Amino acid sequence: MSDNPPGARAAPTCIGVVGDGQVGLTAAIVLRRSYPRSDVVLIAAPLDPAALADTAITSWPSSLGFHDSFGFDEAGLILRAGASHRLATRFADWCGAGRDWVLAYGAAPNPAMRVRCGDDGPGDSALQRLNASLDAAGPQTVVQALAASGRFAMPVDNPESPLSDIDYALRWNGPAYRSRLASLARHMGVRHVTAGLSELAYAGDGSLTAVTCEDGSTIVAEWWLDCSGPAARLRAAASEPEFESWADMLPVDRLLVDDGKASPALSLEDRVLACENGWAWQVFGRDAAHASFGYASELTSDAAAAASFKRACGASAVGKIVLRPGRLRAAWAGNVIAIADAAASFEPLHGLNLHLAHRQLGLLLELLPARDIDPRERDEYNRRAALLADGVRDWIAAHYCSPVPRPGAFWHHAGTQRRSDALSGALQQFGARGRIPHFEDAPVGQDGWAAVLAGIGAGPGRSALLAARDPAQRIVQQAALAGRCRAALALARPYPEWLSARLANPQ
Amino acid sequence: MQQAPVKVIVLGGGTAGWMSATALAKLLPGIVEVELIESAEVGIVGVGEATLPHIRAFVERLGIDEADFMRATQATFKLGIDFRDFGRIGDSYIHPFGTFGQPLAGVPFHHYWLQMRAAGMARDLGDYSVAVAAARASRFALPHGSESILSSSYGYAYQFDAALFGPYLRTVALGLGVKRTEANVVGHRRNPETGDVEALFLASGEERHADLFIDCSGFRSLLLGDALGESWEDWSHWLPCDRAAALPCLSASPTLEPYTRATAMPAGWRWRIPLQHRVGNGYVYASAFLDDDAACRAIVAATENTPLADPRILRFKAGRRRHSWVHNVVGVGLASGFLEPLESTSIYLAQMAITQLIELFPVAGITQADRTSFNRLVDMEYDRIRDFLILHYHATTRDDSPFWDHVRTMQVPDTLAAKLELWRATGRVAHYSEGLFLEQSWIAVYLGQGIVPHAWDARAALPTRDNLAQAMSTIEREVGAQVSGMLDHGAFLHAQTERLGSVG
Repeated sequence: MSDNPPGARAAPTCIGVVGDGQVGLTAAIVLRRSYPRSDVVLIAAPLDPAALADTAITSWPSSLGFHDSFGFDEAGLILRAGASHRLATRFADWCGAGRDWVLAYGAAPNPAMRVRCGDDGPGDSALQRLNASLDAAGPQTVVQALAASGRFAMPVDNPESPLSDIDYALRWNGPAYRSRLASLARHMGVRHVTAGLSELAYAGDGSLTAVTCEDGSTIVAEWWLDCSGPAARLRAAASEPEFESWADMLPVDRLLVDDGKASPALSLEDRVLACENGWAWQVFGRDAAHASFGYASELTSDAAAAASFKRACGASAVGKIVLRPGRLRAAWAGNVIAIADAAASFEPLHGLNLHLAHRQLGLLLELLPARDIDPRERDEYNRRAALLADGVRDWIAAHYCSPVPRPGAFWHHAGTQRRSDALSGALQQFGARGRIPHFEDAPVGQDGWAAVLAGIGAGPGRSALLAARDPAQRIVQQAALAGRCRAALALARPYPEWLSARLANPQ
Repeated sequence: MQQAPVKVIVLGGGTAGWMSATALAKLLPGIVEVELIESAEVGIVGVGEATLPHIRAFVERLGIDEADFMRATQATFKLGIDFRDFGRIGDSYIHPFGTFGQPLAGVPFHHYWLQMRAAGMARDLGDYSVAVAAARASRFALPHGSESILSSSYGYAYQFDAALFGPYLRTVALGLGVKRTEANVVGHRRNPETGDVEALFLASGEERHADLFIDCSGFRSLLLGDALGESWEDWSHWLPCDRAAALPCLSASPTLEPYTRATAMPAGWRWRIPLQHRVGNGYVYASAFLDDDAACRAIVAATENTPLADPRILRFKAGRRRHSWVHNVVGVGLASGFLEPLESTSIYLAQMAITQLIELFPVAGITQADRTSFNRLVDMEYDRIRDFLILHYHATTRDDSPFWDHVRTMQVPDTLAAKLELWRATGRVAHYSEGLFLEQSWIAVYLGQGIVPHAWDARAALPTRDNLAQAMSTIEREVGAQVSGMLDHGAFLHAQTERLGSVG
């Protein structure tokens, strides 16, 4: 290659994507957009129920920007895939009965808005009253205020407007979402082979050169994406890939899912209800309220989990999913790149499995391989993909790190698992100084970290900067915040009303 | 409820010392009680006449009015550094405080530029950067975030008289209640159990006690180095320049350049920094390759106008203390480490340490975790800047002197070698979001010093040559229009008399 004169690298002739769930479809679309003159062949693989990114019906807010980047429009999801908006997730009874906390999107509450009296605040009675009212009433951001009142408005660009604080995620109907992706893929010219894999052919250097499908067709490609779910069929076929287990870091290794027939609900808030032996997560879709139950198999039998699931939200478990938390040590080996559950598997809170898949695809587009793979580019991808995956793991693990955990064996187990250095550092710095360290390639930003750590009661600790703030200035800021929340509420409409108007008039 | 304030002693009245004292007093009122001890007998190095855009946030946070500050320090605006003769004698490029072009279809601009360059159809990379084009035209305007992408595609810093910066901050600090003690420190006492520094002994026989000591004593590193014996990690094998011959002069240029010039010399490089009232010059050299007299002769010969003084020799050493926060002593500035002034990083490094210290400020006792967080961040900043500086020397074809032979052929740190390999093979910059010099800076220096990748993103070949040429010339035209709407830098300053210091 170095004998060639300097130049743009050659585009691939053909890229193979194995696994035609929503992850594989998305991957094929973005590759085809990047290389419009290359063949992109999408090869079917049976959908593994443990492929949580493929079965996800929701994701993190930034997935919407990713959707936009490949022309997957939000209006279409709302009109034709039953999408609805989520502003927040409530973690009910999370640190004990009645001790809820809410993760709202957008900026985290400014810690300066909340001064714990008798700790580092001055003894100003007006301030104490304000604090008391804030503590009691709750909303410390515009999004919290909207979520609490069930009102919604679209965000605007103008930072002066309180509506500019809004950020939201969507949940949707799974089959409709996939079918919209499939038609976009078709429209983009992705070749879809619906017969499954039957044989793989390798070159002398161990790279995968061709796959033969059950219909006898053979696809030859320069490189491959493995979107086949936790089995990582392409990667596993070559040799057992090195797997880094997170079993000692994330507690949930079993999931029960309901039949998806519970009555639909319009809500800006989803709910994770902590139970004695796990949690029940309810996603309130326009098609149905979908529920799942996460637990640890070494502590709880499937029957006991099913009973808890039933008690928590009246759901009947119709499926059980076995999770093997962890990630491949190298997501990209040879000429095969594992994406989503093929690269990292973990419990599905917040829909982060699909979010991670989108971030991986975004990273791949940044370091997009040419026809020939450059090992240094692969190393850089693997370095950053590992940061992404570990970032998700640590942030989810943080949910279980309450200093005063809920009673119960599950919560004790979850709260005493191994913590990475990054997680310990975040807990320590937030707990002691109210600060979130910077993480490179963080899949969840500082606001998300602050919201969880404050939610579980792990801080914020004593910050000299906050303690030094002028009390008069605090009162002014608190009043401004209250005004901003009131203004947002006045501009927003009750969500059902907002949504009907939107559906009646898509523009 | 209200705790007694944390008693802080800042040792040293140079730039780092007064920056530390001012920031602590301003940002942690009621939390700290600050005393600064300085000795009239110890001179200050006065690091840095040129700064980085980060200083603006620092000055603003201290509640200092920009115009007032510029007037007091005879400051001019700075859009970047013009590097001459580094990659090859005769070459020149500007490392701007700004971006090059705009990404297209998610692919960074420089891949398209490389594509057009290979076809012989690209203009100089700087023609696609507002900061570079404005610097070359000696024009300036304050960036505006809201108007257009281009009008916010650059930032600025200051070129100022470092000898005036410390005293300016001193006035601010004294106004904020910082106590100033003029004394020589002749000794210290450590707690036999904790190892913390308890007291400083002054020549007068008095003692000074504090909870936290900030060592701003410069290279002497009286507390961190001498008292606590923190070891020094030496980087002079990679960055051999260890002296500077500084020489101010009056300007001979009809224009006031909004940029610093760094011109490579046989045993190092020399700076030229235009201030309001004079021009700062200095030859940064490696004493292993050049003696002091020769350096002084060289800088006198290279100076454009009558010098205002005799050359002054400064001595330094590249490297850092293994840890910057040990026990209850935090090193800020030269007491904690030094990287030569090639990219004007000294004041930034002091500012970064102060900002981190304030965020982690030990209100209820210092914990090891505070120190670890602080030291991790300081190490990361130093290590990444170090690699970036080494690149300036190593990325060269110069073989005209033993100094350049040495830096061209030396083995660079593995971290830098890996970045270079990735760039050469793919045109990609190893991605980091924390630290000082990010992607655009690396691109400026790589391409400016002739490290052209063998291959780049395949997507750069997708648009037709005509379409690409059109897109690039649109950017270049818009950059040109942006710059022609700016005032001459000197005229801009003179139109704003509130920013002007006294003449002479």
